[in-house]
Amino acid sequence: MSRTAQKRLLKELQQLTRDPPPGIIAAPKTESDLFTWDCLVAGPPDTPYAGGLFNCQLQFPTDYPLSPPTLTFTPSILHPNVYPNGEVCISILHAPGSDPNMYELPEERWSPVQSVEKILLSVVSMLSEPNVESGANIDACILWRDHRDDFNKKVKRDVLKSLGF
Amino acid sequence: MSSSDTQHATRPSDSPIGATCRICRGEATSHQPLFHPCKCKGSIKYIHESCLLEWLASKNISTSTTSSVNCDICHYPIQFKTMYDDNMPDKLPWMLLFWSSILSVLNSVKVWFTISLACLFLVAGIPLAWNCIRNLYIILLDGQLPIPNQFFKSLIYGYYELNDNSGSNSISKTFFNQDTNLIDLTYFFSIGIYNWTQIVLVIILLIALYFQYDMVVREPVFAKMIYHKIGPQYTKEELFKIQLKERFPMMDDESLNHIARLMRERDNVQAEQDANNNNNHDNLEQEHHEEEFENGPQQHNHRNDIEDLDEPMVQDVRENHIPNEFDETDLEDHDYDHQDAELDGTSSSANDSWDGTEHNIANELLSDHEDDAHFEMEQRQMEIEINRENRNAQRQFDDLLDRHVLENQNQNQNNNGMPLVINADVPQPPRNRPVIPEFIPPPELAQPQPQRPAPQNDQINADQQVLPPIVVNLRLKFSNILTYYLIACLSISLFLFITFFIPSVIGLILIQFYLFVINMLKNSIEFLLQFSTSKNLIYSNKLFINFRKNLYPHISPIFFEINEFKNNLFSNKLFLRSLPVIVAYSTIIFMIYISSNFISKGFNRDNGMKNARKRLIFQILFGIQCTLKVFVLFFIELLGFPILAGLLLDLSLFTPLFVNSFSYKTLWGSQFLIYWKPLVGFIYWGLGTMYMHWFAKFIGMIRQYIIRPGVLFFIRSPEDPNIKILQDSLIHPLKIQISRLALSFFIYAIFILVGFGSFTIVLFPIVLNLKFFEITKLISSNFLEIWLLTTFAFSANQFIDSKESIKHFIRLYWNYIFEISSKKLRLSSFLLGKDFQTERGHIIYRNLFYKFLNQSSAELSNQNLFTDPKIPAEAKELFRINPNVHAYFVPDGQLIRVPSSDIVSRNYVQTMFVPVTKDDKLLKPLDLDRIKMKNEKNSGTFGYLEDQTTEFDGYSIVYSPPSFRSRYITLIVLIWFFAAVLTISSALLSQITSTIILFALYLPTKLIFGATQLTNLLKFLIDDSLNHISLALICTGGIILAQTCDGVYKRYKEIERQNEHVHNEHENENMENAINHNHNANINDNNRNENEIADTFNEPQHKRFNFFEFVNVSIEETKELFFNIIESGIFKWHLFLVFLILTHAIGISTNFFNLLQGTVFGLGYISKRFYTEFREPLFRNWLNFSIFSKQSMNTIIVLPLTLRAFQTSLTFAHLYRINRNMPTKRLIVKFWNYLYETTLTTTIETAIPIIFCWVNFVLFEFYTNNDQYDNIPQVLLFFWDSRLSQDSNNIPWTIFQHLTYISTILILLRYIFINIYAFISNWFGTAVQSVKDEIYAKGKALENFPDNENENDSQNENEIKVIPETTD
Repeated sequence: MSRTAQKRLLKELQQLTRDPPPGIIAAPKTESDLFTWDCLVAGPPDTPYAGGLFNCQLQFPTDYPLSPPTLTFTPSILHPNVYPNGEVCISILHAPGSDPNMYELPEERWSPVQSVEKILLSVVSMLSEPNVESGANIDACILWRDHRDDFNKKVKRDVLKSLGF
Repeated sequence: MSSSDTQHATRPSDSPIGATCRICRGEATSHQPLFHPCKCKGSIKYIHESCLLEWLASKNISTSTTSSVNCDICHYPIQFKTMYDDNMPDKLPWMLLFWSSILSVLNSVKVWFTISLACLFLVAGIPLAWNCIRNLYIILLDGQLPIPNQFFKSLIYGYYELNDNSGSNSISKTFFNQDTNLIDLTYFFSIGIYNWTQIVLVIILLIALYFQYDMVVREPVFAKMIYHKIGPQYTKEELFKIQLKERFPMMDDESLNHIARLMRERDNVQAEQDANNNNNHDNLEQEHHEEEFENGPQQHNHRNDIEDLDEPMVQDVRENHIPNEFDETDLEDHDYDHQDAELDGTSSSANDSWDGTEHNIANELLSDHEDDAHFEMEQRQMEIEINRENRNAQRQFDDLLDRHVLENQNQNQNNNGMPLVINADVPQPPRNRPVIPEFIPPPELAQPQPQRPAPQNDQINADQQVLPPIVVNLRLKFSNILTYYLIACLSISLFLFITFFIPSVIGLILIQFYLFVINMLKNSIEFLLQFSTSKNLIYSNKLFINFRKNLYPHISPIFFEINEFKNNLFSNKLFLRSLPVIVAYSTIIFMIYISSNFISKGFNRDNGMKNARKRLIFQILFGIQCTLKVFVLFFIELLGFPILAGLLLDLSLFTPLFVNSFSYKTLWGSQFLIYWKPLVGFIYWGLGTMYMHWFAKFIGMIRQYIIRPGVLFFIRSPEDPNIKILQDSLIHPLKIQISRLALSFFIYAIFILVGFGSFTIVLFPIVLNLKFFEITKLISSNFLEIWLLTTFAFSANQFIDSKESIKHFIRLYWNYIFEISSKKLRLSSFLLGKDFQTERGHIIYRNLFYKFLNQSSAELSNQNLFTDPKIPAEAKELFRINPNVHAYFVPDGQLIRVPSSDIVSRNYVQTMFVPVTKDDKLLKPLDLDRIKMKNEKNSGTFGYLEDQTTEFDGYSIVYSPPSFRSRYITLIVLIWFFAAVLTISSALLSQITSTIILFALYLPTKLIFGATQLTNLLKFLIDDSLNHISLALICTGGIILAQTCDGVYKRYKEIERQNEHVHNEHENENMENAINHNHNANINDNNRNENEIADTFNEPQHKRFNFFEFVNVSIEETKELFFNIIESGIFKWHLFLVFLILTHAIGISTNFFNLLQGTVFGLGYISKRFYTEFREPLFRNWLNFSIFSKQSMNTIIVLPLTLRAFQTSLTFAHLYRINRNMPTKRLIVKFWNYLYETTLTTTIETAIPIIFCWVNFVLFEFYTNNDQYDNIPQVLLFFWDSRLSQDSNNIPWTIFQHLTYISTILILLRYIFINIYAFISNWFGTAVQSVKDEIYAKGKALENFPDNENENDSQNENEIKVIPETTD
């Protein structure tokens, strides 16, 4: 099982290095361990996250293409769909069949057809369009919904901080 | 798929180089070829078999057990091929095949039998059971059979047959007119419908009641009402003791008492001390709080976590409140402060955690003080102060109550009666707290929540309500069905026993009792009467004599009737039958009311009820009482109101218009429905609802665009925050609410009856003697026609409604009407909020001459008429002094306060409409006591529980002229008049428009084609339209007018915009002006803006109006309209209906045709030819089987056809549903394909060839035997009618006659054989396949999806979906 995962991860890495999507860099943390990746995501333009570079970590399970990886922002960012501990909550990262609320459609969830690239692209689109209806960080949701200016200000400050200013 | 295809598809080389598996991203190898088993394309087209199986296994899907697995992405079934054993023989052994097919036949027969049995039980069995059980109970109650000596018959029929004359069950009249010797299927059929209606209604009623009860009990006000009735269960001291006991079980009662006493004293002292430094503290808190808010989100969250953690403590702290001390306003705050102060010295962790609490408290304090400030601002108004006090007290009371309810819940849920405080870990007095107890939050609490978590009711409920899930596992098995049916019958009998039988028995006993009482009364009255007449002893005997003379003769028949009822207990009348039940139920309700009052007697907020069981009983009783109250109110408002309104509408509008102005014997609505009278209720309900909707729309339009806000304060606005329907209906007394409803209905009724009736009943027929306004078309009960007309009218209404310009013009019209009439009535200030100096008084003239004949010159004679007002005496003096001035302005009326918003609270309104001076001083002080009393009276005992939002309360000062009320009424009359003018004129205009169009169509057709049927029809229509108004014509004209109007309006707006543009460009120097203009436009309200637009529209200053351009535009508009209609949903819906009807019509007629041909001609011919002794073929009376009555026979034929039609309709509806967004053209193709596949093939294969043969052979017959026939129809008639009858036995047969019948037989036989063959081969194939699958199958292997199949479909429907990025 683990061998399949390794093979597939290698393939995905090759694919990513050969044809990298704009604004996304991803690679395993160490050569020996293919199951933990470090990624850099650039904040999409025309959003408060623009200009930011966000570090996040992908942790793959051993039965990887069958179950989804987890994605964690390190450090965490202020976003309605990111838990305070940095974990990202988007439907593509949820295993199928475990939806207690019947909230997400099955085709929106994880399936082996997805890939690291698609996950990261989803994260970029999540950054530009938060979904407050199923928020992970309710403070951020309320801030985003009711006090957009404050939200933008805070995010910009965080962005500056993340860049070391 | 053919076998060569399959082999081609499984070749691994099928996948191109570079293709990868969608799961492992590996390429195809010789061991693991790539497949594309579904419709996915692109980079995820291919997959390894092992990867797929692994993925499926991880989802717990097994390919061997499930018949088909769908792809996650394209949702197409993944193609599998069954692998077979190598030693499978090419030809399967016959025996095996035979037995397996027998088995499968038996299996499917069993399945079908089970399903049809289930359907039978559902459709007929349950209603039959309901019917029989009900009749059984009736028999038991009566002690006699409705049909003597026939138990089963009376069980089934009950009183229906006897009922025919009473008319209470009209359904019986239409359906049950059969001779009862035959098995009557129709009867069972109608039993199904009738009893199902009953069952469904009962179920709906029960569900509605249950939900009502649920809602009522959940309503927060309900808890407060209970609190009001029976008070808290424990006083503060008791509660405290219980908590102590819980915490320190070893403590004895004495020390408990001691501590409790200490606590109370401490509270009192603390309260005094803390009153001073309260404000200071608050400010500090506030700053702290803001600072905290500025910090980053992490901290924010952190804080929230803490808050959550502490919530139970806060809760606990609140437990310590004394419920009966709530007149002391700041109690809460002190308590909290005290806690804070105490905890300052404890350890740091404690500090941390209490910090959170502090913030909670701070928030509360903050909000409290904000509220206070808000109130202080308005404090100069006395009436608001009243509110404020109420609210303060109320809020505290609410808080106390919330807590109390919580306790109650806890206690009720705790079965052993031990009082349990929320989260038993923490309860302890602050003083005795040595360390902060380790509190581990339950996982639900750990979730970050920014606001104060809701009261913990939910959580407690959730904890308590973890019940094992009830597994509903209904299996359709043969034995199960019987069990289910038995269970259903049992539950029906139980249900009827409880709800019908027992109440009837009780009701009977009660009736006996009541009769006894009444008889006693009667006897005593009679005794008294005799006594008084025999001996003139008392003075009041006159009264008795009067009574005896005048009233008694009227009353005694009632007694007689009642006695009759007692003796001859059950007649079959519905009313008498339901009387005992009604009596029993009303007695029970009365008992509930009495007993709940009795239980709560002596208890109130201060004096709480102690007994938990008694409390529970009271809660349930009170809940039922409240539910019934709310139910009655809702029932009246939602059902009774519209039905009555519909009835009145019928009475005043439809009956006079549609039927005949002078015959009121039957209402239109009841003529409309011959089959089932109760359906009239539904129709009236629909009509009434529509009318009310329309009325509300009108009111909304006026409120929004025309009148000053606050005028219509008495009609609830949709955005009124004070609307809490359930709460309102709970709190306010039933009597007042019903009287309010009655009043509003009275107004409605007057509007309807007078508003419509005065035209339809009085004006048109009697005063004007016009027949023009009678719509003759809608009397007929031709369902299709009425349906078409109604849909047409409805869609026309929708269409006209959707046009912005129409709305705009209507608004303009009303604006104008309102302005003019309020000006005339001097109500501008009150109605529109526009204060005109000239309206503030009236002009007096020198004499009548000037007043009536020479007004304008008189007004001109006074230069400063309005600037220099006079009082009447002064004016008279001046008339004398100055002969040149003939008119003076005399101010009158007064300024009053009126609500400035439509959503003011109800209590606030009571302080309105008082006269004030110019600088808003009350002329006389408000009688506050009276107002308060009135408010209290209106709101009843629970009135103080209502918290009306008072933030919109405010008043403005307007001018009201003298005799305000009559002016107001005049205004309403005027509005009514102008509404009528608008309606009638637009109807007439539409009619004229369509008449003109008809005429324009008529002339050319007449010229070109001469007098054909078309021209006749047109002429008829034109004649008709000149004599009567017609709904269809009005709608057509309305649509055309609306479209033209809209087009022209849009066009002018465009020209206007262009002009403005040009204008601005050319006159740059006038920039300032333009800016001003824009500015004005911005400031002005809607009305002004629209006025401007209207002005520009009306002024013909834009000379560049080009006729051809206009024609072009209108052609474009018409085109657009046409396409819109074609692409609109309603058109597609009609398309769907047309195709549906077409399918059914063709299908049914083909089936009938084939059946007729086959039985009459086919069998007739054969019997005639080969069995000569078979004298009477199945001819003419071919349906005359003697076991069934005629109705039953019809049922036998109609039922399968109905089922078939039902099935077709379902399929069609499905087809429509999934394709309804398709362009119309493709939709038609789809429908056509379906029609072709299902019915047309049969028609083409049977009916059309048969007709072809008949026509051919009839022609041949005619031309070969020319001498015997006069014309062709005669031949046909001979063939059709009499060739096979006995009369024509001695006429020799010709070859063509034989051929005709033989060809018919052959064609039908061919069709039958082909179908049977197809069926058998299909069956055989399935059987072979199943045997193979069962015996020789090894497993399944992937198979490629056929590439080129349904290429067109896949292009449009099955593109790979881009996965939407929805987050959780």
